[in-house]
Amino acid sequence: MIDLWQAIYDTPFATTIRESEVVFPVIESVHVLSLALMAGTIAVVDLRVLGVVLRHTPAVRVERQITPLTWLGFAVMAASGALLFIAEAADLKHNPAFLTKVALLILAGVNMAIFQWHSRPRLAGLGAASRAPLAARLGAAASLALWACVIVAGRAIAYFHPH
Amino acid sequence: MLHTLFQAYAASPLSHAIRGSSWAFAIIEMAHLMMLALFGGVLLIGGLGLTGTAFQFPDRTGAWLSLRRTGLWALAGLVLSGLLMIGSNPMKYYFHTAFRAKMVLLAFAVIASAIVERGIRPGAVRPILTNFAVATALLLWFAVAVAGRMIGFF
Amino acid sequence: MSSRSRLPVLAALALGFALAATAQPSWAHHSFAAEFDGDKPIRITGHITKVQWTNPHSYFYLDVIDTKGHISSWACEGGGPGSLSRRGWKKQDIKIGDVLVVDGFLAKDGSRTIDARRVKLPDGRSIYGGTPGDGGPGDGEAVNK
Repeated sequence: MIDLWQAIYDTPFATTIRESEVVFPVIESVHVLSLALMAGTIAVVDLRVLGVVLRHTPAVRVERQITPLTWLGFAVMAASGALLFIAEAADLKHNPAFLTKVALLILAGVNMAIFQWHSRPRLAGLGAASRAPLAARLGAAASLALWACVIVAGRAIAYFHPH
Repeated sequence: MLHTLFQAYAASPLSHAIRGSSWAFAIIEMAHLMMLALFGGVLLIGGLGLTGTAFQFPDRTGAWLSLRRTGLWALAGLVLSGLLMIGSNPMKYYFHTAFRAKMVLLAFAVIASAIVERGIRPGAVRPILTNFAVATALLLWFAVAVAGRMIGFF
Repeated sequence: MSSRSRLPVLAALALGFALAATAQPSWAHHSFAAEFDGDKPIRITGHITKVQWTNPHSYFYLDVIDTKGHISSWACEGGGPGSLSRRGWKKQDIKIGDVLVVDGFLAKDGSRTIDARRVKLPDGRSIYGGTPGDGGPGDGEAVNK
């Protein structure tokens, strides 16, 4: 039975990244700094739904305009995250922070899917002055909490590095 | 004078507490990261909305001002968490090239942002000057973030 | 459950899960203050048994022989390859069996783990792994003398 995590870790590609002088730091920096592009933009949309910012523009319009930027951020985070995962695979297999982060990402994704399917249609007809329905606001609050925890779990990965 | 200030910080009970704690630095740094994400998002959307580049807000200036308060809170959080992180080893930061660079860039970023805000009057936004000023400010803030990352790598 | 009450439950579950997940007992790894004792500088001399020239941190395992002839295995944590390279230390400068003299700070949990700050390589060079002013062993000396 092959240990897939170890197999990935042992590849020349993974080893090169892991032992690199510049590449790994750059990938990691891109991953961290893209947080603003992905989580930051999500936060602004969530804050709009909660009525904290951009109240002169309908929530659905704010969401529609910002979402492409969020997807760009997600693409960058996914790509850089995949490279970091490949480089450290075997060390991550038993890393509680990493496993928690993956679980939280899945939850955040589910939360976003619920928003798209349930809340977005209900926001479509509302003007700027209207208060978003309770379900939408709860989803926005959950989104803020989940992404905050993703960031915490991500930073904690280094704290459980085996040696 | 700065040297004395940092030394005084290093000798303070607060600095000793942070240095001796097994979890303080970790929590503080995580808060710094969360504030960074929020601040960056606000900057991006505010800046891009102001120049009309990516977003079409009916009232550009109003959009910026609406985001401004959240942005300032996030910045306050970044400054506070940053000051506490320095407390873990003030002299190390004092001599650190990347940290010094970050502080200089931070000063320039704040000045650039102030210039942008000066140029905003309701309804009277001059396209070329504002786009250039906003781009400069955003780039400076990005440089601040990059310098921050360098602290960890050097 | 109606769609109205589903979301509060989801939100509560997510928050609860997240809170529980972040309440990990052993934070004590990594952050210098968490894992190492800044008041306990220590020096060990031993020969290399294993090298992990990796990001985000490198690890060197030394066998240290005490005065009675007992061998103990020590783990030394260093910076990443880029950090070491900028200080003049490349992967090919050491091999298994080489003798290193390591100055650093001892782990708080009593294990044989050191946060390596100054390492004397087989070729005689001393590499300072900290940054100027951080107060570690070797701080203030000329780098790579």
